[in-house]
Amino acid sequence: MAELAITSQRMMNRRTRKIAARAAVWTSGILAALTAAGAAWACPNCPAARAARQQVCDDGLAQNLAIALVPFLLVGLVSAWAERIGKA
Amino acid sequence: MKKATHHGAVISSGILLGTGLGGFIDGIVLHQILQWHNMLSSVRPPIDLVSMKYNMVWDGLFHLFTWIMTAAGLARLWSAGLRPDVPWSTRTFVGSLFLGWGLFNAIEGVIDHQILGLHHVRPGEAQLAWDLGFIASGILMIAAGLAAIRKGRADTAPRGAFLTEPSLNRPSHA
Repeated sequence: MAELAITSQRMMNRRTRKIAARAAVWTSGILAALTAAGAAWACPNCPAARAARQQVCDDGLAQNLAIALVPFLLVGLVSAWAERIGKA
Repeated sequence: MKKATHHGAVISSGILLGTGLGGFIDGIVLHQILQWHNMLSSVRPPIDLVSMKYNMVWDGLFHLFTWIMTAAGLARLWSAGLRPDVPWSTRTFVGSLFLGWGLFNAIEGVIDHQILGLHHVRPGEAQLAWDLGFIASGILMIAAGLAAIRKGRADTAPRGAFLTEPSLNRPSHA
């Protein structure tokens, strides 16, 4: 019985080591890929991003927002009206 | 068992969900994968990095609105499922999804493409044909949705009735 328990423990250790080795390989691979892709990262505060944000504000943000919202609001109204169908 | 007749609760949620999911298809397929247009691509054509970022902001806002519609539809569907007077009809729900998607395409096609000219489906020589095709697809989906909803009127069993009432194995498809 004790021998069986020791064998089982050894198998568990071997399996854990395998999983840990695989995790290490994957983690280092992902880190390497992220490091290599550094040049392609987005620029949240570069000159192009700042210029784009400025243009969004200068072009009439509130007016464009209202225009973009119109189709959604109209469908919302239809949905609210449809709620009444078959209501007791 | 009392018949459930309040179809409007499912129709209302289906319209919102159809609009949201249809809007996501528009944004993901036409804006991002095919890159035929962006939200304000006729106002500022995306020909350099700044104007591409500009349109990306507006595409993001478009996706935000579609997400809000989807979330609202989900919330309404959840509350509809809790009510005993709401018939749990697949035909009504699927029809409402098509109705919502079609309504959105038709309304967006007329207002954004034709009246305001914010963007066109596929700018170029045949842009009018693409725009009209987009509106026509909306009208077709509205018609298909309304037909399915009409057939769904025959379904009167509430959610869960198929489990508690052995005589109701499936929703009635009469």
